[in-house]
Amino acid sequence: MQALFAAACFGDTAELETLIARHRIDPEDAAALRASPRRLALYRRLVRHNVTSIVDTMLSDTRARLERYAPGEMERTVSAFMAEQGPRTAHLRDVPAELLAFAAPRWRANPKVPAWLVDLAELELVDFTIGVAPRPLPPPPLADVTADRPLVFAEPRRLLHLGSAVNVLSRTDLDAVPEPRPVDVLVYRDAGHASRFLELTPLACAILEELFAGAPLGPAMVAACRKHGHVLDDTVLGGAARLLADLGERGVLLGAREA
Amino acid sequence: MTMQRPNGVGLGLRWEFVDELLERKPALGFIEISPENYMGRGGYYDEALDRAKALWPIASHGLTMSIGGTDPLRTEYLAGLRAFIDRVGAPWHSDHLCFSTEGGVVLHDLLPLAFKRSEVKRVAERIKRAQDAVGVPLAIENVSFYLHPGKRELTEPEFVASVCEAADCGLMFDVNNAWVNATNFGYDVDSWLRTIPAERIVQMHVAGHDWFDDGNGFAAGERPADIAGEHGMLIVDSHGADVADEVLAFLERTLQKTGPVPVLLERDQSIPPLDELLAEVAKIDAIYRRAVAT
Repeated sequence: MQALFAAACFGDTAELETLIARHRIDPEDAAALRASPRRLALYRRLVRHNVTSIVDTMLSDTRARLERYAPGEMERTVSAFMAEQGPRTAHLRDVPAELLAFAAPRWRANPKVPAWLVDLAELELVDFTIGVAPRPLPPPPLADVTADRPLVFAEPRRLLHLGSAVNVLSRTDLDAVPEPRPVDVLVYRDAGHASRFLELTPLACAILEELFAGAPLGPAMVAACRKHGHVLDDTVLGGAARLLADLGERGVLLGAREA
Repeated sequence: MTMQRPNGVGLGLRWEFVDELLERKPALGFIEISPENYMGRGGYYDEALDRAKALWPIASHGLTMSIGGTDPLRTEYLAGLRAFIDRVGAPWHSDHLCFSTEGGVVLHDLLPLAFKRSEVKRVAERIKRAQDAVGVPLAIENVSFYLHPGKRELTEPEFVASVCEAADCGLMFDVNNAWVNATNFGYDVDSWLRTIPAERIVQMHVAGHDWFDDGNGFAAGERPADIAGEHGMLIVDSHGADVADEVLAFLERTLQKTGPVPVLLERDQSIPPLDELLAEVAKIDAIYRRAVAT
């Protein structure tokens, strides 16, 4: 019976007889369901309402722009998500991320949906998840930053690689279109628990990727320069010094790990 | 540090008014929080919870245990819940007598259980296991429902009472849910008071509800003049309105039987300004004091 209820909540209540047969419902129990078939539809509505409410809250900008380009697509996506997969997380707040993972290939394949919309949705979710990420553990003992030491960064943080500049898209102008260029963004949480976004050059992003993976500063810069075909010259060294100083002021770079 | 237990009349903590509540620090018997909103999270609201904990006793009320489900109880969830309850110092934890998972899919709503003897035994065993896992007494909450899943062998009060006795657990008695179900399905709400074990009630909930057209796509409607008559309306436990007078009257009759059990006002939809919420808390508190004094 519970499986029938779940199927009805995620699927089509018009197929009650099919569901009763498929789930081998006892005749007396089936009779009780047939007496109030509309009420199954109410449960479907309540379940869907909870999912759409959290999606509207956490993906509000994405939804508004999706509606602009492909009216009704979010509703259709939610319907398909509910019918084909359904939420797997026990935390309602994590449902939009599950929905986006389901929706991304669908939206990318839809010519009416702009290619940057998935980037925007990802950015919206990261804004939320960084803001509410679990408390970080206390940092290890810190030392001065030197080339042979791995660096210690504050948590939470994340590097995002976007295909368009949705990070600078106007939140109020629904007709605004982001510049189609690769963008690397560091997302971190400030002292007031707000998410902050810092656009990086490709080389700066590559250096941070190496550092976040635990490489000491010197080898991280060598690896990043090799990856991007840069010569590790004074210009790069100066740029890296300014980046690390900036991250220190933002509270993202805490220091270096003691040997 | 000795934690004060929830007492008197409390308010469910919601993000819509958490800042103002923490700023004004009103006298509340306790606040109630849903662990799922905080487990595995940090940041602003996590910090707000610490501030709230310093001001009021905390009751813990879960949403997703799926204690009546057939999927295995989630050990990771229960372990996280135990740590959270320990952190906030809640003396008990409540969740709903319902199912919300099926085949690995989470419905994020409270689906009804069949009022059958076989379900009493099955669910009671799950409650015992969950109670062992979370490390504090569990209380189950009677939910509002709109369609009974199959043939009934027991009345709803009989089912809830039987589960509590079989599981040896507490009851989070939702007065509004009891009234909504009794009204929707046409039975005497006071049958609850004649059936449920009053000594097992550890906490109560009151909330508002809304009326919907039962035959027209469940469109929002008006409360009928004669709620006992044939009106074609269905009451939905929306937590989106002030508590109805009949529900407050039933709360008073329940408190006269139970004595001073903490009562919580829940509001999740159409949340009014905090002054209005606190005025409703004060109204409930007056009922509480009158009832427990008799």
